[in-house]
Amino acid sequence: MIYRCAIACAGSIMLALLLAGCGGGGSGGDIFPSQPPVSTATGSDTFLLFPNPQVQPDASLQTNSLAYAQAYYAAIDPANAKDTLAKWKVANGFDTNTGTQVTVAFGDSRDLGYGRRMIGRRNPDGTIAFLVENYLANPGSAYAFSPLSLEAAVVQDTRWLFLINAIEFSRGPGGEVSFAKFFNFDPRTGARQLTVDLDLRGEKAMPGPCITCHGGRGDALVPDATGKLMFSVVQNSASGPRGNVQGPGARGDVQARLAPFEVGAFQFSTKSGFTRFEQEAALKKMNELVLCTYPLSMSQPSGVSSNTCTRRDAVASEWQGTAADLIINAYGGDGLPAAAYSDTFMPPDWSTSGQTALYQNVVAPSCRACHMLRGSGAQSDIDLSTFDHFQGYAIFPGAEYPKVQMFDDRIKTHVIDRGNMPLAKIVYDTFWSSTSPAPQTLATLLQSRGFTVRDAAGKVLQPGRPIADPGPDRTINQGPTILSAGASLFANAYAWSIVSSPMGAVPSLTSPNSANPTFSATTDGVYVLQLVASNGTAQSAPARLALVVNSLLSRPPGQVHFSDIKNVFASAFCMGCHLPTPGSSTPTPPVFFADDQGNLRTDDAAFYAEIRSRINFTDLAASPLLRKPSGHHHGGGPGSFSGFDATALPGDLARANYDLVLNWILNGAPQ
Amino acid sequence: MIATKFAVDLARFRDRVLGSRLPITSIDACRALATPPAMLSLGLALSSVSYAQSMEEGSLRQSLDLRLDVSYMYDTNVNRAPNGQQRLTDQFYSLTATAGGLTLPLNTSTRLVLDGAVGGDMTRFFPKLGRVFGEFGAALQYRKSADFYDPTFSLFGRITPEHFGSSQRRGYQYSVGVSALQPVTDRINLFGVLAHHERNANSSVFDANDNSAQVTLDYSIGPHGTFYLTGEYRRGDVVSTGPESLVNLDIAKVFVQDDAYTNPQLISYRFEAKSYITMLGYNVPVGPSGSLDFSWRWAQSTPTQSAGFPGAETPRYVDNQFMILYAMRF
Repeated sequence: MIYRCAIACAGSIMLALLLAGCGGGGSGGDIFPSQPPVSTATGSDTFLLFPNPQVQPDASLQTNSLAYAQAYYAAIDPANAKDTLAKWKVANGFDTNTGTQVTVAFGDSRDLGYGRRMIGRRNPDGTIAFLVENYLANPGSAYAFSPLSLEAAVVQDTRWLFLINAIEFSRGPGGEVSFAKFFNFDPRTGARQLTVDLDLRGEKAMPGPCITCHGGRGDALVPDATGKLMFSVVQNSASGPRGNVQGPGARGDVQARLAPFEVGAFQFSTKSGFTRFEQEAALKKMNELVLCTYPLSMSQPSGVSSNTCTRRDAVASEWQGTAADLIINAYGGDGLPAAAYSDTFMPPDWSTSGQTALYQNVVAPSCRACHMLRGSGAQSDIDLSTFDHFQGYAIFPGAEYPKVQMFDDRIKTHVIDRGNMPLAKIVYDTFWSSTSPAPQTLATLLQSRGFTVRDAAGKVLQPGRPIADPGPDRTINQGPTILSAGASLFANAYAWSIVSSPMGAVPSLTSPNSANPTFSATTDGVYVLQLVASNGTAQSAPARLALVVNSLLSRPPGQVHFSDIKNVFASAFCMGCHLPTPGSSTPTPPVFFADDQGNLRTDDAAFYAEIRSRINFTDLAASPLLRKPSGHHHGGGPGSFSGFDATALPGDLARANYDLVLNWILNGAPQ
Repeated sequence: MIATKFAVDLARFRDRVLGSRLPITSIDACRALATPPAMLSLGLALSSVSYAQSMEEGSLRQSLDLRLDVSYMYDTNVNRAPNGQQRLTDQFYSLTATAGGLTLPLNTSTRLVLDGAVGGDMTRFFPKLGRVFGEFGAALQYRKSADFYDPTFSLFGRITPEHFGSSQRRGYQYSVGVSALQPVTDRINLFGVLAHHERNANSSVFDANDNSAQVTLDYSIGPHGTFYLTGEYRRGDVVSTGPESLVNLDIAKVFVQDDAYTNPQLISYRFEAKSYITMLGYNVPVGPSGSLDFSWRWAQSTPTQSAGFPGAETPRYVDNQFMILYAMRF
């Protein structure tokens, strides 16, 4: 018997040891509540950054720097009177039983993925403020909207309180017209924060992540007389000390606006008191508050357009309150007679253009929220309020010179190539999700305009594939010129080659498999080079670069300075509009080249900063300094200005100024 | 008398091997199917019964019990859900073979008792809750003398590897503890157990530990069987399975999408709780070498941490389990 026992026990022990090897150590699916949602990099991973982030000589992004945030709050709150949540609430009259105050809770499933509990109020003095508690209750899961985040917002489960944002619409220091100001407060301490991580893709400096999609400008900081960096004054705003006339704006007025509450894009709780039906009245009040902040377009008669307030008349230069159309239409027209928000807004031009599907599949869910808050009185193409505005960014550039007039490939560049639009991560991911009709719908339009946006199998090309960018066509001197493939996308290997040369020329290309080869030619003429970029086995389509070698260049590319650029402004008639015109009804542009007397500005440090601000070093072709005078969405008119005909071959007199500015930019835009 | 003793012994042994799936406080179906420390100690304490009686007989001896247990259990809340809508039922069919009773006397008052078992469970509705397991236990027992009223103390330890259909639940568990058996009359025995239990599974959700205190009262009605009543308090980890909810997330230490409940997909989450367990049972001899056992167990767990928002209700997790077991000794 003892042997039977021993055998049985030994068997048990062996089985125990064998099975014990199966367990322990945790599994990959385990999620701890303290884990943040998983937010993976997609596209160019530059969400909520300005397409022109103001690259500095040290390669840092100024709009994403602490200095930027500090300058912002120094501008809008110089006495730090609102540097905590408590102080901000007091300053904005919260919980004082005065004015109007409403609260709603909803799920922001489309844009930021939060459960949001929002308090909106309008004070007796007309100032308006929104305080937003943002809840994110999907630990360890993919960063996206979760019904639990909504539930957390409804019950105010502070464990999941992720961020506290605030926007106030009030006058700036010394100003007479209110503008929107953006804040972010630590949900634990209430301290105002200089950075915020809205989408778990890393901290970004305020106010950038907010104003990128609230219509705001990402202008560079400018130095004062002592060299201290400040927010620039945007000239085409009414918020400055002159009040309701043609600018300038208040420092810190970045022309950002409050966004309409697109109720149809929200998720709602089934909990009593928080259903959509039960919150419709409060949501309408919220939208009325937002509407109150919009100027009334000059094309409309003055008067009341909501039940809450009288909107001020827009000045000619500024944004004309385009987004008001969405709110007014959603509530049944002027006077907002409808009690509930209708989700059927379709701008008339889009439907009459036969582009309903494009608007519904692409623009409304992916573009509208940000773009409808952009634009100015003189140039509103970017608000995409009409199909014509939209298609103005999809004009096939043409492969060879002379290029198509008004060529413009911005939609393809941002959406299909670079992947920096849609601007918000969840919107971007939704756009490219397998069930989204958006890529196909957009590709159909772009393809009809001549763009290559599908691969050989017909699949819509998606950001992430290597894209070669040898830089813009240009004029150069004889001798060595360093080229750059640095603007290429999603690539880490490069192959340059010379495709064609003038008869008898013997050009050279050293280090042709590097990002920065040296091209050298001793014969004038047009040289065409080719760049293929790759990443692993993925290879880009070849991209061409035309180099026009000219030994007689008046300004060798390496010797162009800011003083040359200023002379271009004077010679190209830029100063006809880019100057102060107090009291005039003529729209003013956002930046002036001339002083009050009509002379070229002499405050070179600030002037240079403002001009450099209009260079996009991440995408040179997108630089307003090149695009505006060459006739792209320029308030000064649709055609190119003298010497700025970018459809001409480099070196052509018709684009001499363009070439000069381009070479200055390629040389780092030295002062 | 021997038959009665055997029946009582089997009843305890049933608890040791199978009763572990009973208590809600044993974390979840996985953990529940594992052997809870109190039951282990109870089972081991039962060895003390044999020990005590063998001491009565005036000798320490080596013996080997080979047993086969077959049982059926109905569980009203197999996923340990906090409310009626989320509760799921299941039925367990179990078979266990046990080799026990290897007794090694160390001196006149102390002995070492070893046992081992292999077994398996099948479920009706959630097949991945089924498992095969092995078990090995040892108990160091002490009794001052063979005097009838002298208590028997036991220091025990046990390891139980388990291979579930659910890969998340696979792993092993350990139990250590002390127990005491105090005969009150020739019909009544009183057991007390203090135990610590730890579990290590593929998923951290099923890694759990707890401490328990348990008291059991046996009342023998001679050849007609034995009634028993158990009360237990536990403090430690509990696992519940249900839909994702804010309350669940708030109280959870860790959670996972459960691979045993996939349609609909439920999450299992582990949380700290206080638990109370009671069990009422009746064990009756069947023939010279068998016994039949009927038991009802009720358990309730309450999280020690509440959800973090105003007005949040503290959930209560209640389970009832009904079991019938037939044991045969060879």
